[in-house]
Amino acid sequence: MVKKKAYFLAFLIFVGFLLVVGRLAYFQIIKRDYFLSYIERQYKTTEKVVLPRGTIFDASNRIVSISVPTLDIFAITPYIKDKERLAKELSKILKQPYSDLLRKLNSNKRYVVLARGVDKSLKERLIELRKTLQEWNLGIVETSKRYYPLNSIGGTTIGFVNRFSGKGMGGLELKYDELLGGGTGDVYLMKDATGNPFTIEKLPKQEDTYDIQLTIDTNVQHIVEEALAKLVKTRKPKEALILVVDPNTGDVIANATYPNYNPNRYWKYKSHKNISFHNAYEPGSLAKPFVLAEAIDQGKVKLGKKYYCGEGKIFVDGIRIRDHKSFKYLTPEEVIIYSSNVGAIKLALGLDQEKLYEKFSMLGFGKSTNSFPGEATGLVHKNNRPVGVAYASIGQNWTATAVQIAMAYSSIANGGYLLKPKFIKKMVNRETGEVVVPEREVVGKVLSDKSVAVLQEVLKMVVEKGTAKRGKSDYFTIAGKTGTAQKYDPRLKALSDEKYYTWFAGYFPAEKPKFTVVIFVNEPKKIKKWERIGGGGVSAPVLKDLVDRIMFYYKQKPDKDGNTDGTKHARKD
Amino acid sequence: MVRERVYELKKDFSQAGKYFTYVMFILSMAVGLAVYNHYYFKVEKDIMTLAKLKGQLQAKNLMLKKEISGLSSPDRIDKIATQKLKMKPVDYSKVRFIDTK
Repeated sequence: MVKKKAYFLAFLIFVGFLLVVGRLAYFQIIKRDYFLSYIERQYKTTEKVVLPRGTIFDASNRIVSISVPTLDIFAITPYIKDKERLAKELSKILKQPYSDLLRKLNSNKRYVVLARGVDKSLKERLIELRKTLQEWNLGIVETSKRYYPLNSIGGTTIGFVNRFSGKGMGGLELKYDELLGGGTGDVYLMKDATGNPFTIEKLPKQEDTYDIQLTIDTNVQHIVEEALAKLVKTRKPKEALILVVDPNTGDVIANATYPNYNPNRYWKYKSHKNISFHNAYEPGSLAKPFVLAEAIDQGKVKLGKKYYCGEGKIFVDGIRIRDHKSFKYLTPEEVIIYSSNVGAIKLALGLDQEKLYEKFSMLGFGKSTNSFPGEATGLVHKNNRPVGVAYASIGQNWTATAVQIAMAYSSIANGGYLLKPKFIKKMVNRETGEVVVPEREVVGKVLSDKSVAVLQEVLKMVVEKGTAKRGKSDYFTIAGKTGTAQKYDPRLKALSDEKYYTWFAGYFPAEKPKFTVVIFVNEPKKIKKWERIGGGGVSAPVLKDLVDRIMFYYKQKPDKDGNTDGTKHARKD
Repeated sequence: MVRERVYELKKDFSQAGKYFTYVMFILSMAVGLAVYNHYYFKVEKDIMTLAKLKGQLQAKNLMLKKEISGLSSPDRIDKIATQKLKMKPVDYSKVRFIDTK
């Protein structure tokens, strides 16, 4: 009897165990996914956040663009108990108008973002507020915001990141978007009992992203922007730019443009153009040195020999083309030094025209350098009619971007090599720490040694005694060329006598070039009524201060008149 | 009666003694697991706390870097130099270069 009872009890226990095991199997195997998702709904949450991108540094390791951790505040409006009170308390913390917050909370949308990019230090106060008001449907999510500590310095070049998508939308931020990473991603967060996300479960992995060090030096950028601001103040142009590159490496050192913008508030600006890359303009007399170079290479010119320069005018295909001054006889060198249109046209008309256009193409004109997003190509018309060649030789009827001009003039400075503009000094992989240093890219040898030697001497004389003499520095040798192009006036259906593009392109120190500079002004205004607008009067004078300041920043000794120690100019006291 | 009980108890103990090692083994395993569990959760908690702290420090570091960069902005330094300290751009005629060979 006792034995039977024992067996019965054992059977009951066994059945009980079976039931428990069966139930466990039901929960663990059959209903596994359902309960897992149920638990996840209770304890986990997914949020779309802007992911941090790689940091951008300038050449002297100063941060120009950084992703800083911030908060996004959102609300699920149907479940907010006291909207007015919440709006009132939030407005005190977020320093945002009460009416704005209340309007958002009262909107028909179920999910509203109340504030983006809020300072992370406010997190504790916001959590406290949520706890006090028992508003568990007020969400606080950690995200990141792209911040530009130097504000508008180099704005158009650095570019900006879309504040919602986290992707580069302009400038170098767009160009190096893939290298920098970022964008948006789903972040899995674990919530505590109050619904507050307290730990990140899974952050989207960003592979092969880099911190980038630029070739741009923000100190030089600032010097250049100051010089540009001064120019804009006096000349009130439509657009203006100063571009500084290293002629030996192609490194872009500074690029100041007017108009410019502050990438921290990019949405407030209508245009985000970087006119050094996005716009092409007629280069005017900047084309003349390349005509001379081609004439030397074709052996169609005798240096030092005087040529008749038409005394201020020339007729080509029945069209009169004027000079800015009446020149009678000039040597080919003087044609460049004093920028004679007639002289340059005569040189060009004696050349093999196909080869002249080929030279322009070799120098990079009419082709994008592919160094900046959305870069213009410029347009070189192959017009073999004499009048077409005549206009081409004086830089009318074809266009070039400032960066093309800079690289073409750099080729004179560096011995005839066309380089690709470069923005990256080095890149550091954020995961592995691997350092990548891009090499300089030589497109090709575009000028012969003979023409380079002549042009280097001639361009020095342009600044010393020619059309750019107003830009002459007392301490440093500068070589370069001024340019003036008449703008086409659609009302007159002819070239305007009032509206001009003025240029200066050159390099310094002339003996051992370290910097190529391009100064461009679109429609500068006259300072005096009788003034004649031109590259020599508008663009060149900017040079003087600019060269001295940049060279002092790099602690360079004056090189003029053999003064390598600067003693000649030192104060005698 | 008492004798019988004592005898039975002795018998039971001697019977249980046979399984003593097993019981002790199970007990020590249980204690070991409990200790490990406690330690595991402590380490897990520490990892979470440290990860949170790391995140906070990284965030603080980034904010400080951002501030340093803002403070060293050429624009700001220029304003302090020219407006507060009344400094002027360099005049090369007043500069002497000294060669240190």
